[in-house]
Amino acid sequence: MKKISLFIPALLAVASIALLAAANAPVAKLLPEPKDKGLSQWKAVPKAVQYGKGEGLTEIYDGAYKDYLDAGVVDAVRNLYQRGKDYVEVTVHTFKSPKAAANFFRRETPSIKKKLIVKTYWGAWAVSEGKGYGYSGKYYATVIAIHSGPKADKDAKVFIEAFIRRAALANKAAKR
Amino acid sequence: MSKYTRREFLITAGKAGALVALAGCGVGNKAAEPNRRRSEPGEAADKTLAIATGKDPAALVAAAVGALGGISAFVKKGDRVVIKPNASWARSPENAATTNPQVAAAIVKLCKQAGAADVLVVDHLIDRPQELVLAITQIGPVCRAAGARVVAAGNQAMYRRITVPDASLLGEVLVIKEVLAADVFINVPIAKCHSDTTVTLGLKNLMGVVWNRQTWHTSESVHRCIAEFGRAVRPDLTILDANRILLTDGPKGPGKTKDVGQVIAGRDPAAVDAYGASLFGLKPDAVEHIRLAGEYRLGETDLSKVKILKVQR
Repeated sequence: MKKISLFIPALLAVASIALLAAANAPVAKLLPEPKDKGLSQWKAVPKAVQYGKGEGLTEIYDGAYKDYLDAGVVDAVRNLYQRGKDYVEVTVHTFKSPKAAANFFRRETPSIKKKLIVKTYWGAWAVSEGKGYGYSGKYYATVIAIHSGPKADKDAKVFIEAFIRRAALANKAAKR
Repeated sequence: MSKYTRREFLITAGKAGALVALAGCGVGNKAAEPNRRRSEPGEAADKTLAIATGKDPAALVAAAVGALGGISAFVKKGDRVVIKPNASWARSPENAATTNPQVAAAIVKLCKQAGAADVLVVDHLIDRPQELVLAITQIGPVCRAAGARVVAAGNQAMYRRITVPDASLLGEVLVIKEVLAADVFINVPIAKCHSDTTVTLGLKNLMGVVWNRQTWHTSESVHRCIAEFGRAVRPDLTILDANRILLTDGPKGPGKTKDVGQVIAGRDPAAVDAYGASLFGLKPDAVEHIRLAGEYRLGETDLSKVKILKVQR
């Protein structure tokens, strides 16, 4: 039986490589930015970005990573945004297929009313209790307003829409 | 396409090699220092649990610790105390994903009142940036206001390599140095569900004093890792925050919560966890690492053999 200490140097090296990969990962480009529609009052928190791929999803989810791997997540990136005392966390995932992303979206929002966007781009989203869920193609995101109150849902909606616009554009570009 | 010159390759390879070598050697670790936290099988002599029930988290801490003989039974004048809450996630206290800051601060105050020379509150956080996580959980500002140093252990130089005795899965583990050197180590988990380990209670919370803990989750059995580590690092006191517990979407939430209004304190970490499992409607043996803790004789997991002191506040 392999003892865990044998893995430490190798995993540290992998972690270093993962950090380098984060900056170049396509999924990182789907994170909302303050220049996106409705987000001008927000700023991205410095040094908050975390990235994980495969078993490296532990970087974001710790022990919960297996849930996401099993559901078909390839990689994920997380960032934190601030507006005064309010914080919003956004995690964008690449799934192995659009079907896997759609299944996960349905799994996470069993009793929440879902909205479809079909005009200029395609995506689906749902918001409830300060949490936003959305997907477009093989990309899926969750938004969590860490603050509470009525503005939490509104904030979650603005962020999830920003993600969907970015994901839809990425999907369109990939088809060209 | 840019070409990689031989010189660039050698420089990069050299840096990577140095990184791996440093990691393998455990930079800054002094292997000669004793591990003061190591326990022997069956060491848990006191199988008493104090369970305080009420609405004020700070008062519940005082009541539970008081029922065990008061903080002076654990902390002496001049002691260096280390407190390990769960501060891993960027979640506010009402989400019950992190230890209630009022619980942690109440313990800090008790230790200071007992004459502790130094009280350190420390955790190896998962979310980033660390100082912001400490602020969002409120553990940073509230515990500092109570008189503690609060540190996020995000640097490998803060850890020391120890060997886990009689382990089949864990070999050497990097553990926060100040935990190993403390006169008194108090583990302060919050009770919550966990998608990988069923629940997070005291034994699981100790993963937060380990540098390379993510390897446990990707190992063949995280439960065995948790139980084996219990042989290497044993808290003097476990204080379980069950004021509000997380029932779904753990470990991070947000999810469904339940207001239990309890603080549970005990010297026996396995007994605390056995009781903690019951808060989720689980028998101790239904949680693999608690079952293993009993098998490894880390403490008593049969609650019928545990003396329970109930205090109402």
